[in-house]
Amino acid sequence: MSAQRYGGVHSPGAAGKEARQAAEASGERIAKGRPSPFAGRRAMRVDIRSRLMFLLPAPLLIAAFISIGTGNLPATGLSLAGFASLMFGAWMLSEGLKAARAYEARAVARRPAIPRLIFAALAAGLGVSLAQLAGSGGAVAAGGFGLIAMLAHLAAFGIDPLENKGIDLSDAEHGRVADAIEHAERLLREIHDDAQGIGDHEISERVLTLCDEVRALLRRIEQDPRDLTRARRYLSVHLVGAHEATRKYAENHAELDDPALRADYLSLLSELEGSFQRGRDKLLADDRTDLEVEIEVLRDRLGQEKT
Amino acid sequence: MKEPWVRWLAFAVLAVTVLVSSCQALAAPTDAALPSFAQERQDR
Repeated sequence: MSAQRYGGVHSPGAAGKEARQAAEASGERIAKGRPSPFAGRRAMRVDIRSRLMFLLPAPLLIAAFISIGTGNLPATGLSLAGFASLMFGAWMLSEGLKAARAYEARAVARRPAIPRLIFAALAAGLGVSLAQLAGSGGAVAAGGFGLIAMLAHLAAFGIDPLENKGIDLSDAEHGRVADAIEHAERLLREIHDDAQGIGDHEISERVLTLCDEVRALLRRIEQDPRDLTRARRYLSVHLVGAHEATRKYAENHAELDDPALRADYLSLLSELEGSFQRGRDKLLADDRTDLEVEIEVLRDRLGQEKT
Repeated sequence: MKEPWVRWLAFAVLAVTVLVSSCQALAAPTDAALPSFAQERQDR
């Protein structure tokens, strides 16, 4: 038995090359040919400050427990109410920052329906006031520190976007575009959540790639709302189909436990991905044709003016 | 108001306000539960 030099598909040198060729010959998927799974994706931003807002009120909860032990009902109530208010504020802050980031990322967006960051500031101010009252502070100190906390919150995290962004959303057609995009984004979020719940790494990755394709199509529609009519089929039939299929697979995969079903579902995801890619290419081609026609018409007009 | 240092400064004010208020609320029932410690602190 002779020793064999170690070498895999990704190893440098001849052994790696041979292995790669062998893998290609056997039809195995090679990493080089695939786009990076992170291509075009934004890194998830974690704001340490908003996370800290969940931790800082912890002493209030301990104070509430001690007050329960000493039988001090008013202090217990004030501590618990202050803690609840601060935690509600922290949650509102975290959701508000998420909504603000989604608003920033889109070219066309309605303003958030609930001004979460403003509510978060109000809740933080109220929570600090209640904590001051629980700590036997006077009403003036409670009001003063509550106001300071609220203003500091507004300065640290800002307020929600208060105006619609992009096209004129009061126009009926533009409103339809914004509604269609919001609906599609909601479906994408649900598809993503369902896929994560399945707990299958490959399915999660494929669904993420599909979501990226759909979002690329949505960004095109945002840039040119006339594309909505052309892309309606993709958003109303294909995306809704993907949503339904993912939901049903997520509900039934554990009970059925059928590898053939999984393969079918993966194949459907591939087909949908290809379909959305073709849709985006088609929109690009249509835009090119529109531009060519416009150039042609302008040239004709210039030619007529010369003669 | 969008400079990062302003935001961080405002956050520091907020964090200290929340933490100090919470700790004061924690000190009050502790004093009530352990009067000897509260007395000792006052004596000091």
